[in-house]
Amino acid sequence: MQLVAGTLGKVWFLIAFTVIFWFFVDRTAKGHKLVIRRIAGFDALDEAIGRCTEMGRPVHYTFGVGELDANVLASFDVLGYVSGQCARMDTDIIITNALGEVQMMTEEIVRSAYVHAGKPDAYKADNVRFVSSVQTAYMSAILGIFQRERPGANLMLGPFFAESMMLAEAGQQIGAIQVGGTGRTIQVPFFIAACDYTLIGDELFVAGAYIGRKPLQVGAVYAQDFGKWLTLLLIVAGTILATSGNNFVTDLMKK
Amino acid sequence: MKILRSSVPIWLGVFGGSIVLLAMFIKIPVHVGLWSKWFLEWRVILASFALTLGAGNLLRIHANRIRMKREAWMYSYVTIVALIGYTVLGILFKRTHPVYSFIFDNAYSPLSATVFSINAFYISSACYRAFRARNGHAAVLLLSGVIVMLGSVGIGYAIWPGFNTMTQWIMNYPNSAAMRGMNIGAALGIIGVSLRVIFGLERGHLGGE
Repeated sequence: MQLVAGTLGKVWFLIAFTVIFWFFVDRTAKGHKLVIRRIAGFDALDEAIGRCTEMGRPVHYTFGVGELDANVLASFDVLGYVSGQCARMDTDIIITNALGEVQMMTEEIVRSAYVHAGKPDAYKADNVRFVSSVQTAYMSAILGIFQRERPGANLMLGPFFAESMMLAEAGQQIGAIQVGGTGRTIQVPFFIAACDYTLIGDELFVAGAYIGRKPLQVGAVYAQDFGKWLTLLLIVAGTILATSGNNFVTDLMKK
Repeated sequence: MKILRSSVPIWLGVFGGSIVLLAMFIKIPVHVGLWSKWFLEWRVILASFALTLGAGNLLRIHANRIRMKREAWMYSYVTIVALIGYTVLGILFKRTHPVYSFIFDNAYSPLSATVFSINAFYISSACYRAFRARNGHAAVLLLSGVIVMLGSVGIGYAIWPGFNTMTQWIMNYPNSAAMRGMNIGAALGIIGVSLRVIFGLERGHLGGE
């Protein structure tokens, strides 16, 4: 068995990350309590749903037009939580999708959330909408929903492209409280400019752990933080060594 | 039934994720490599079928909208006619047919460009709100934003050539450093989610809270 050329550094990093990952998952499984810092974007979800309940307006939730990736998987955790809260508070939730496969999974997640909340009859299939996989048609459909149904909260969590700016600004113009989050860092400035709360960088990916407080997932989040320290260590060590003429770290990551 | 809805998807994630990950790093036997290729191809095929189901959802919602005479229900006719008509046209006459191309070039393309062009106005209004110097951070944002804007257009260079140099410095150092920091964080987050799927710990996509 041979390694693919140019992947040695990545393999070592992945092995180290996996070891740390299992170390913390094991710790949480044994009952050690680990704490995650407060993330304003997630704390604002209840505020947004409560506001919609008071105003009698629906919550709007969308994933963006990007493909089914880690952003969408992380967003599913948030969707499950938000749908459950909407079910309990008798507030409508409208979900718009650009991908057929995400549509199918979304229907199941929202239906399950209503069942778990003890209100299966309150689930409205017509509120989980496939709008279009084409970016401009997707944006137009959501702008129409904003104008006709005037959601009180607009939650945009997933792999966003250029639609991020238009949707966030249109949501702002109808007075919706907005939470935006994406792992596509190029879109983050648009969310910061137009949303009330923004999940930056890896914050979206800790959704399951933060919202659900599932111990095993909290352990995984600790591993992510240690991964950051490991990366920082490599950057600092690589910089110092390279400055002193030793390219060990640089070569290791290139191999 | 419960096994089909919970255990099977988890094990498919564990198996598929592991094979694709291994194929990226290790020169595995040809038949195992083929599995990795098949998994990626199946994903495309499943997505195509799911798109059909999505179109079905779109038709059902708009048919309900017409039936129940909801707000702006008449536009649902436009959606249904366009969806069915264009699909039938494409199936019967192929995408190279002049009528198919005519509709694409003269209806879809201009409409699409029009919607996209609205983005310019949305960006302007968002910039106006974001750039108001309400506090120290917003003032820094305003200052750097103005410098980058002036340094990116000809008139800025005409006013003072230094804008160009300052723009390059802002883009190459503070901006790049912040973006790379966010990228590293996001990449680690993606690795974390992927490992949770591969080890069967991520279950948000299976439904429930």
